[in-house]
Amino acid sequence: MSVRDRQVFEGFKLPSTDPITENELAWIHLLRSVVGDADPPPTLAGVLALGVTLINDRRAEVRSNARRLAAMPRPG
Amino acid sequence: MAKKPHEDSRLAKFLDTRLLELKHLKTQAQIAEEAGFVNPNMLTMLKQGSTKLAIDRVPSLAKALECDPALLLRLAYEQAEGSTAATAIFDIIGEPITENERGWLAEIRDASGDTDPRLTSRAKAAIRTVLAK
Repeated sequence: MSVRDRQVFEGFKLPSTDPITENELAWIHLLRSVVGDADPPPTLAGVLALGVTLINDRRAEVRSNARRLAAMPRPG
Repeated sequence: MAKKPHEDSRLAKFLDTRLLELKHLKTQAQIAEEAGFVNPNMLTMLKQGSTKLAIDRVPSLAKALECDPALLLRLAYEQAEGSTAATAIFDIIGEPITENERGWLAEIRDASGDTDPRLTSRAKAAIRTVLAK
């Protein structure tokens, strides 16, 4: 019997086998703390803000790493 | 008047809000029937917090309320067991995550190039600003 032929009982699902990371759980908890029990879908404004923030965070991390490298004593 | 045992639960408050949102689409009696409640007053009792939602009713009630069953399951466990016990249960069986939350995770993975970004204070502030609007 193929998967398509099976009668699906709506409402119950097997748990997802796709794990989420500690960092991702922190994002989810932040989302819940901001929206309460509203459970909003991703919005264009939200996704754009997220993209900009992640890029800025990455840049800040690269700058910080560059400063740390520059401050290291040079051999010789 | 005596305080009802579950009136401060998040589930009772969520149900109250959701019934108001659906008011123009279907009656409380229709929702109760769709959810399979024999007693049409069950929704009022749940909303007022005089009774708690049985876990086995979560899928049908979520469908009738047109909400994500993962969200309702979280609220039902919290109402039934208390938030500390619910957290302990979810630590073992895994935390129910809604389809919309999965959508946000997919966006985070996409925008970060799947680098598992940390939640920085800058990110917290940006998310709060956008979603609080």
